[in-house]
Amino acid sequence: MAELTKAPEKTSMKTKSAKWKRSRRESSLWWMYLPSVLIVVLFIVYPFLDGIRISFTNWNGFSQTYDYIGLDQYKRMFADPDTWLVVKNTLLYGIGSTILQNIAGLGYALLLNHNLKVRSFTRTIIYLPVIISPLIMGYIWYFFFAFQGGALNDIFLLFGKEPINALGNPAVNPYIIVFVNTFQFVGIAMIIYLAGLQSISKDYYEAANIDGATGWQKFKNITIPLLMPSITINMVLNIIGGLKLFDVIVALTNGGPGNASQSMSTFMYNLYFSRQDAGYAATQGVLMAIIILVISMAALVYFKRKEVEA
Amino acid sequence: MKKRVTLSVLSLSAVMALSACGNNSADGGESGGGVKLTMMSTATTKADQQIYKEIVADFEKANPEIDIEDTYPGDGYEDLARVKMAADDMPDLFDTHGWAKSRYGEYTEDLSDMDWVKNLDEAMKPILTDDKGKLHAYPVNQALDGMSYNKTLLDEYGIKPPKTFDELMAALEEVKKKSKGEVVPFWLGGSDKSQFGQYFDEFATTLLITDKENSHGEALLDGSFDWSNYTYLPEKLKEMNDKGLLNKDVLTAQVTQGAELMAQNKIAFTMLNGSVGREVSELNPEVQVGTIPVPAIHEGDSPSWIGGERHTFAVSKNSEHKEEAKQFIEYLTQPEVAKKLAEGTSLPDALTNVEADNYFAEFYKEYEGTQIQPYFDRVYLPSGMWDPMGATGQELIAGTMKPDEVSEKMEQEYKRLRAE
Repeated sequence: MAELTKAPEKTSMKTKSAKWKRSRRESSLWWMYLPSVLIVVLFIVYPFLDGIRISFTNWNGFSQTYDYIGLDQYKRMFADPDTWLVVKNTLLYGIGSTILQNIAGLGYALLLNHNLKVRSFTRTIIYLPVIISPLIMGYIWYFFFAFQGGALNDIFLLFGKEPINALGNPAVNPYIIVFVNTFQFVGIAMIIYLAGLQSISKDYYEAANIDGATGWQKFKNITIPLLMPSITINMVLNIIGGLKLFDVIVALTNGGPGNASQSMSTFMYNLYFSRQDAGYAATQGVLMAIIILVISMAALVYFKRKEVEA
Repeated sequence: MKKRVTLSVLSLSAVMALSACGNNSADGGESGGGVKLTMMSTATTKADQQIYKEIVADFEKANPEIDIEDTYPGDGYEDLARVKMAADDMPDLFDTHGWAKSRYGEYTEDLSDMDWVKNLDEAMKPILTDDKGKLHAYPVNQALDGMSYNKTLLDEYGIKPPKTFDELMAALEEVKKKSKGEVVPFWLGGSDKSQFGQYFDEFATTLLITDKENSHGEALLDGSFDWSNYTYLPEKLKEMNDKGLLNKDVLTAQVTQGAELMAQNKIAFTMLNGSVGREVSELNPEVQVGTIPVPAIHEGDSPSWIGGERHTFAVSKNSEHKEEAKQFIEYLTQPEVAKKLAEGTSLPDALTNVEADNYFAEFYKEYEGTQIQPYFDRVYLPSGMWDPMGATGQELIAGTMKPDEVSEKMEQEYKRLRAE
C-alpha cells in the first residue's frame, strides 16, 4: 500500500517535469520568431504607423518642418475627382487581373494535368514570365505596343493598315495594363491549380463515371469544390498583387496620359515625388491600405467558406 | 545547446536590426586613409555623364587622397534628392538644377568666399545668391534654352527660323505641307510630362513676362494673377494637335527617341535643348541642329532665351568634408576644366574668364543681344508647379481637359503650393 501511495507522487513529478521541459522548449522557440518580428516591425509596422501620422500633416516630403492640419487631407481626398479615378483603375487592375489570371491559370492547369510529352516544357514556358522583373516585362510590352517602331504597328503597316496609339488612348491603356499583368503572373495561378488538381483523388472521378456524369458535371461538382483551397490562395494573392500594381504601369504608360491610367500606388508616388505633397500622398496610402485589407479579407472569408473536406 | 541557439538567435536579430538602421555618416567617409566624397549630378545623357566622369577621374589623379563616388540618377534625381533632404542626408556635392535657393537653400553651404566668385557671370549672381548674400552653388554651365530645330530640313524647305509664335505656326504648317506628312513639324516626347512642361514654361515667359503691356510678373509674385491669361498656351497646343502638327504618339513617345528621329530627318522642331545637337551629329553628321530663342507672342515684343541654372554643384552644409568638396569645386573652375565641361555639355560656361566653344556657338552668336529671362516657374511659381504644368499638358492632348480647365488646375495648384 505504501508503494501504491508513492506511485502517484512519481507520476505527478514526471508530469510536472515533462510540462516544464515542454514549456522551456516552447519559450526558446519564441526567440526564433524574433528576427522576423523585428523585420516586420521595422519595415512594415513602423513605416505604416508613421505614414498614418504624416497623413495629418501638410509635409512637402523634403523640408525639415511641417504643420499638423487635422483631417484636412482626408476632406480633400474625398472631394478630389482624381481619387475616384485612381480607385476605379486600382479596382480594375485588381479584380480584372484576378479574374483573367484565374480563368487562364485554371485552363492551363486542366490542359497540363495529363501525361503529355510536352507537359514540363509547356509548364516552364508559361511560368517563365513570373521570374522577370515587372518593370522589364512592362518595357518589353511597351516596345510591342509603341506607336513608333512597335511590333504591333509594324504588323499593321505590313498589311497596309494605319498604326494605332494604344498606349496613348485612355479608354484602352488600362486594359493593356491588365493584360500585361495577367500575362506575367498567370504562371503562378497555373502552378497552384496544377498542385491542387493533382491532390484530388481519381476515385471521385471514377465513381462519377460509373454514375454517368458528364465532363461539366464532374468539373462543377468534384473539381471545383475540391479545388477551393487553391482557388482561395490564388484569388487572395492575385487580388492583393493587382491592387498594388506599380511597375508595369510605370513602364507602359507612367500613369498617363495625365492621370488616366494611374493606380493608387502610382498616384501616391506622383504626389510625393513630383507634386511635393507627401501629406496628401500618405492620406491616399491609408485609403489604399484600407481598400486592400477589406477586399482581401472579404475574398478570404468568402472562399474559405466554400472549401469542403475531401 | 539551447543557450547557444538562443544566443545565436539574439545575435542574428541584433545584427539585422543594426544593419537596418543604415550608415549615419552617409555624407562620405574615410577610404583607405584618404577622404571619400559623395557626388550626385543631374546629367542625364550619356554624353554629359561621360564628361563628368572624365573630370572626376582627372581630379582624383591630381588629388589621390580624395576619392569621389559620383552618381547620375538621371530622371530619378529629384525623387532621390527629396528622400535625401527628408532624411537630412544630402551627398557632399549635389546639383541644384535651378532650385538652389527655393528648394535646396536650407541644405547648402555658403560659397561666397571662394576665389572663382569674382569671375562669376553677372547673369548668374542673382540666380544663385539670396538676399542675405549667401551663394548657394557653383554653376558648371548655364541654360540658354529656346527651341531646337532641324536646320538641314528647314534649309531644304526654304523655311526661316521663326521669331514670333505666328511665324512658328506658319513654319509648322509649311513643314507638314512640304514633307507631305512625312516629317513631324513639332515633336514632343510626351510620355515624360516634362516635355509638355518645357513648352508651357518657356512660352509662359513671352506670354506673361517679357511684353511690357502684358507683363504679369508682379501679380504672379503677389498671388493676384488672373490665370485666364494663361489659357492662350493650352489653346495653341491643342490647335497644333488638332491640325496634326504634333507627333501622333505625342503622349507615349519617349524623350530618348528625339535625337534619333532628328538624325533620321523625321522631325523639324522640338523642345529638346543642350546636348541634343551633339547627339544628333554623332548619329548622322549630315544633319545639323539649330537653336532659336523662344518666339515672341505679343506684337512688338522680341524673342527671349530662357537662362539660369542647368548643372551646378552645391556643398552640403552637413558635409563632414567641406574643405575637400570645395577643393573639387575650385578644380572645376580652372579655365581649361570649365571650358571642357561647357563644351562637353554644349552649353555656355558661367565664368567670365572662360571662352568655351560649343555646338550651338554660331547660333548664340547670331542671336547675341537677345534678352535672357530666367525659367518662368523658378521665379514666378512656387516650387512643385513643374509637375502640374506637364500633367495638364498630357491631359489636354488626351482630351480629358479643356484649355480653360488647364488654367483652372494650374491656379488650384498655384494656390495650394503658395500656402505651404
